[in-house]
Amino acid sequence: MHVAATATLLLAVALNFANVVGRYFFNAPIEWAEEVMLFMQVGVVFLAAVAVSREGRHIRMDVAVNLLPALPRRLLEALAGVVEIAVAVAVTWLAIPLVKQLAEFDQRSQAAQLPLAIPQALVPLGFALIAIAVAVRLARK
Amino acid sequence: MTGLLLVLPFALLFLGIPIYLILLLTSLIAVAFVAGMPPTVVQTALFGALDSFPLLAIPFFILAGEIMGQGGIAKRLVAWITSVIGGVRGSLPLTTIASSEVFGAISGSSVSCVAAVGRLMVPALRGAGYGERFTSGLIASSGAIAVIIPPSIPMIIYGATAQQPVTELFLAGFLPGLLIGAFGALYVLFRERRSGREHVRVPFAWSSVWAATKNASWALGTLAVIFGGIYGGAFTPTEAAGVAVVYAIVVSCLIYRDLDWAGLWRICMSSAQLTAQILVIVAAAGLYSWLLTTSGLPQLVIATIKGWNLGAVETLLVFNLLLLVVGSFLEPPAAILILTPLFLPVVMSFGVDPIHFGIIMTVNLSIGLYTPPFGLNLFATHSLFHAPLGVIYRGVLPFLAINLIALMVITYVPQISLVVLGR
Repeated sequence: MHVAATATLLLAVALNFANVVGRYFFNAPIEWAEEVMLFMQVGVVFLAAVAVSREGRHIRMDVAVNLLPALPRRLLEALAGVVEIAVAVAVTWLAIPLVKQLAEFDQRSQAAQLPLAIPQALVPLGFALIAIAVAVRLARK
Repeated sequence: MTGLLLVLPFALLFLGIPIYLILLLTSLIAVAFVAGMPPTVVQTALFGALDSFPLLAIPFFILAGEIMGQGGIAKRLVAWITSVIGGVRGSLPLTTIASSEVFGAISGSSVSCVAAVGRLMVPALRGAGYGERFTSGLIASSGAIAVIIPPSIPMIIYGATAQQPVTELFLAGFLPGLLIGAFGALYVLFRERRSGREHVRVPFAWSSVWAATKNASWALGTLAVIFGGIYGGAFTPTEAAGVAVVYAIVVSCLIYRDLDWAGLWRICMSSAQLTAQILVIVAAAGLYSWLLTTSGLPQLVIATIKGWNLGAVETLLVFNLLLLVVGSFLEPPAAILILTPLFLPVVMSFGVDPIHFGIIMTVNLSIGLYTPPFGLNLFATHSLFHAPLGVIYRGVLPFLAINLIALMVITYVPQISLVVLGR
């Protein structure tokens, strides 16, 4: 996932460059570039977030927690993991019907005519993988 | 409802729950138990928050900043500054501040700046006998200049939230950024005079300035690409950020050859993670902010503040204090997304310019980046340079004091921000 997110980020950089060069030098902008780059951004964020969750490196305020002795600290770490799994499952569960609906009605994006279900599905996909990644992390400890 | 949305996050924060989870959990509880909150909003708001072209500048600027910091561009910029001001009293700390100004002009992220400038200046400062407390305080606070000097990630988010042009916010940030650097420099000079230390001086010579300029010309070209591109009308800030990435890759890997392809890939991997760490909070804060707005909190805030019968001066003071407190807990992106819809209508009713208020928020939240005990720059300084947190806390105090004075000046003299825009 981390590799996929990084590759998507670099693809967005390349697409942006092609769009700017195309518009500026060849008077031929890529009409769908902005839209697709935004879909890529959604992909980068929710796929790379899986790697961040797996390593437990999301931004948090851990100064107070670090003052605690080892046992309560580990309990709180476990609690944070359980909360993360619960939230990720809930978001996935709420998102899936919407994505299904988009797919059934075959809604397309304005510029690229891409099925909207694809970029929208990146949100539940990311959160489902986050739930799995955190569960694996907790099980290892 | 409003009480739940405000109290629960605070409790969870102290338990060390990641910030994006706190915002999501609170929002989910609101959706589940409060009538009239449609569950579909979770997906639409999470997706919609990131479906914004100005925000795309954030991953691009993060990536460009990391490549420039590690690929030899930052190193040459610092060498160039040293050749110009290396001969004055207190040259090393002054170079640190000036380097943060210049690095801030090619990057919009404070932690990137702490890492890039710190890696180059901390060994030099330590070697010259500057104490750990002063060195770490200087590095942690100077890094915050990077978000005030355009380009700036908080300004991009403010522009998207308040629907203000990012190009104007960038222009308005120049003088406040220079003012804060000047205040820091005055403090350094005052301190040097009192300490009477031996000075590290690189004698000034036009020949060495010329040599360093030539050596740094590709690095300085980054400024031309970003600002020439934006204000020459060639591209938007987001496109400029993307082009800056390509430029930084070409210069670092092909011209300077300080970075090999494996190193570049490593930087891209860590930048993707950094992007996720910041933007997942932005997505969650977008949902949380939507619920806060729907719950009627903005109207409540406006009515409450109107009820106090405060003038513009007092209201700005109250908002500054609130922003300082919130900014020391929350990252600027989340704070801006949540507080802009609450504060902006109030200050605008007093005739405060929305661009000026964006600068006030940015400067204020940049101070939060190194306000003990939770500022992100403090942790970055701690983990990069292994200074004990307690020492860093004491080290930033003098810089905190002078930057609060600068904040007041920037708040109450709107011309500093707006004169560049001709308002």
